[in-house]
Amino acid sequence: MATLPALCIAFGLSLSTPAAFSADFASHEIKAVFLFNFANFVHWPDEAFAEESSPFIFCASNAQSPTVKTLREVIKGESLNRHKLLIKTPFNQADISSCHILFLEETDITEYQSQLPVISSGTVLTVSDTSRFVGSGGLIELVQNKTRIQPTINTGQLERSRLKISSTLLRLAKIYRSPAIGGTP
Amino acid sequence: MNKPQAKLDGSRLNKLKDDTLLTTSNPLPWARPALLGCLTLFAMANASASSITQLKNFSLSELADIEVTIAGKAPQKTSEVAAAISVLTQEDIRNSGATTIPDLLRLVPGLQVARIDAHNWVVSSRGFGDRMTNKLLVMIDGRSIYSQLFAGVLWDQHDVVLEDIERIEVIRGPGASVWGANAVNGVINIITRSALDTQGTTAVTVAAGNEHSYTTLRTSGALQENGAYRAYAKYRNHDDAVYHGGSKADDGWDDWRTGFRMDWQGDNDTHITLQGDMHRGDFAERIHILDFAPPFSKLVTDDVDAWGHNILARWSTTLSGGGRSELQAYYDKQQRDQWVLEESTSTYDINYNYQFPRLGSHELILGGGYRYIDNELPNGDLSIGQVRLYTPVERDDELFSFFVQDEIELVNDVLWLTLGVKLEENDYSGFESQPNLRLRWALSHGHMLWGAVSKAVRTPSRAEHDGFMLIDIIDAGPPPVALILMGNTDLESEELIAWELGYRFTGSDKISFDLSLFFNDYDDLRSAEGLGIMPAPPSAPPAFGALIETINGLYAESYGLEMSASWQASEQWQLNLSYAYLDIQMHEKSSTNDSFPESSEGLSPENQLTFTSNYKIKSNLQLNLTGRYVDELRTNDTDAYFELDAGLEWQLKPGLSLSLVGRNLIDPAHRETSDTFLTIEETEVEREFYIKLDWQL
Repeated sequence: MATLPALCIAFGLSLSTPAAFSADFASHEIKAVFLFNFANFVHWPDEAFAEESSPFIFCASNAQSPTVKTLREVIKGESLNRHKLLIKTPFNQADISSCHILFLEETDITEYQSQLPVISSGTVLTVSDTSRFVGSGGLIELVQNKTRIQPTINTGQLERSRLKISSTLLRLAKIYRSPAIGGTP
Repeated sequence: MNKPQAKLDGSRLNKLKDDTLLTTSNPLPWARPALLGCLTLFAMANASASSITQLKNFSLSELADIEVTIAGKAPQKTSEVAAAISVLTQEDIRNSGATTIPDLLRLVPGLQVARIDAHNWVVSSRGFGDRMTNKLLVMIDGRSIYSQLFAGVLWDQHDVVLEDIERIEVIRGPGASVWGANAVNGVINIITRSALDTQGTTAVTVAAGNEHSYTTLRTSGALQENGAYRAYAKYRNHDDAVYHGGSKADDGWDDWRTGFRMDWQGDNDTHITLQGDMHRGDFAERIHILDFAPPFSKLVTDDVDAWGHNILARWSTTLSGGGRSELQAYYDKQQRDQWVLEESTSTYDINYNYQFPRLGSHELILGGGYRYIDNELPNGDLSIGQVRLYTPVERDDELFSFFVQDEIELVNDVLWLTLGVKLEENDYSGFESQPNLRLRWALSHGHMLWGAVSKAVRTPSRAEHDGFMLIDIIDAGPPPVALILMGNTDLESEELIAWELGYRFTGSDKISFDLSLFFNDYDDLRSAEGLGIMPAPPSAPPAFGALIETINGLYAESYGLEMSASWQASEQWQLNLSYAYLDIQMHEKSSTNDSFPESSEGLSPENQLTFTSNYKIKSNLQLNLTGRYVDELRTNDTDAYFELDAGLEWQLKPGLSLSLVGRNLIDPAHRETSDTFLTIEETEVEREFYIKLDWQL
């Protein structure tokens, strides 16, 4: 038995298959899994859910963006405590406060920029992959830094919100301290 | 506080959709059933998972650590390296409670870390643990801190800001085909964070304790649009340790260092780094000084003064064809003044690597380097018994190196073969060739087998080559006999052929497991030969000299295993366990008359066991425990010991944390090893407490 693996390794040596793709991860895949993980590493107060069995809602405006499409695949079959995970695309703007995670992309930014400090001071975790997002009052920025994607967390805004972020996430994130941007609690 | 994580259980492994192995068109159709047969042998014929599934299984910190695909370059995860690799992350470093680099390395499965006195250390991989562990190469951000003078690392001279370490990569076993000579039994790479990653942080860290205290100030900010800088200053202070029995020794020390790092990120993934440090320290130690009058030896305090500085620049970019080019150059100056040694060494090093765009199933990397070392070792004062002569006193050495490595994906997503060789030309042993062959086999999602055969050499040190040193005086007279160690200009490199096998499981977010087995076959290990008696030089007091020469008179085999397992018991609780076993058998060649050929057998522990537990009591309060068992060292009569460290870290608010740490809690003091050559009086490691405040302003 012990020699069989060795034989197999030796056998593998004689093989030579043509080129193929290695297991690479694209940035939108990493972003989607980060979004999914935020659901686990951020604590929402009970009142963020109408009922114990209410769904956990990701909101995004573009159903066709690679990140959102990947997120759909990522959350398939997953749940968070008793909350089913759900993506709303597009979401109803009037209903924005029912989103748990609001993911904004480049095209959405101009539309929401001015409202960011307000949206981010309740129970909505605002996340974007555009730079300077935290500078505008957003909570988490997922921007490619060198070759990696590292979250940046706006801790000043976080204190004004009703969310709590686990120290595991805080520790690996970059911390952004906002110069007092007017957010009303 | 935190919600339990959405369940990522093993059933996910069954959700694999695309069976790449079966869908890949295979030019050798007959090969497929046979290969499948091999895979089913392990009942895991699953082939590769979808990348999403794989990503979901990563921990948060792994996720942040993934290199996003850039043209032609696959992301490099440590779980995919065909070597016995361990990585200490910034989180491991925080949790460890360690305050020095050697103490941090105690966490690495299989590494031997033992303190001789308050600042002299033994750090070794796979045996031969000595103050000058000559078979372990250590680098800080690509700058070698291995001293070619005595073949080893003087750990007291080197430090970094622990909070700025990105990770410490430790490879046990040979790394010579990439890193070159002296990476025989291991390579340690200490990598600090890019200034771009620490931008905007101004922080002060103060740790104060009964044994060790330090203060670090660091600040960082933006440089133009796409750059960042960081600067730091650090002061450390260590109390005297104790001798066996509890009386105070005289081995306290303090040092300061300051430095900077600047990084720029441009188009085409161009990255430029410029960094530098300077340091100075005063280290006391008790040493045996030899005397030509009875009782021939006396114990005195030696005040060691060590200082130095370095500057390094690195530039990397992706070229239009998709290849990646990296150029690094550094200058390093180290000076040290003590009884047994007065050293001044300047190193100039330049290195270039080119990674070709992926061509078919090949990933090819080529590299070349040049190092110039200028060093000066003034002779000792014979009239006070300081017998150390180097011929020549000043010496310039050159090292030319070239390496090539090809990683070939033999079976798509399943089997990779890496062939590599490093060719070097040095001024001591001449031309050296260090090839290796590695095979990595991804069995199914998360299971990986690897094997390697490598050759590595340890080149002769300047001391072994050029030295003339008094090492002992024996009362055999009158007149007494002086034992003198003479250099040997014909000394050759020590050689190793290493055979390694490993298994790694990383397919679950709850459990990971790593096992490596090795068989090392050494040849031409150094021995000490008696050459005969001669009259002492006329300038010295009346004595006979017994000459001892270093030759390549020994050979050896060693074998062992290292294993580590980590278990995320719950969202709040993580447990790690590691165990290492080592056995070395030394043998004499017929040409040798070494008096202690077997001394290296007992310099490293046969068994080592370490466990850590990191428990999150609340979301901002964590309890860390580390226990370690280290077996006896037969050569220097050191007993086995078990020690326990405990730390409580309280995150008061983002950016402000307070830690209480107790180290070596079991015994008031314990001995870890002794010096085999430079006759430093060993002291014991005491129970230690400290409080640390880490404040990001």
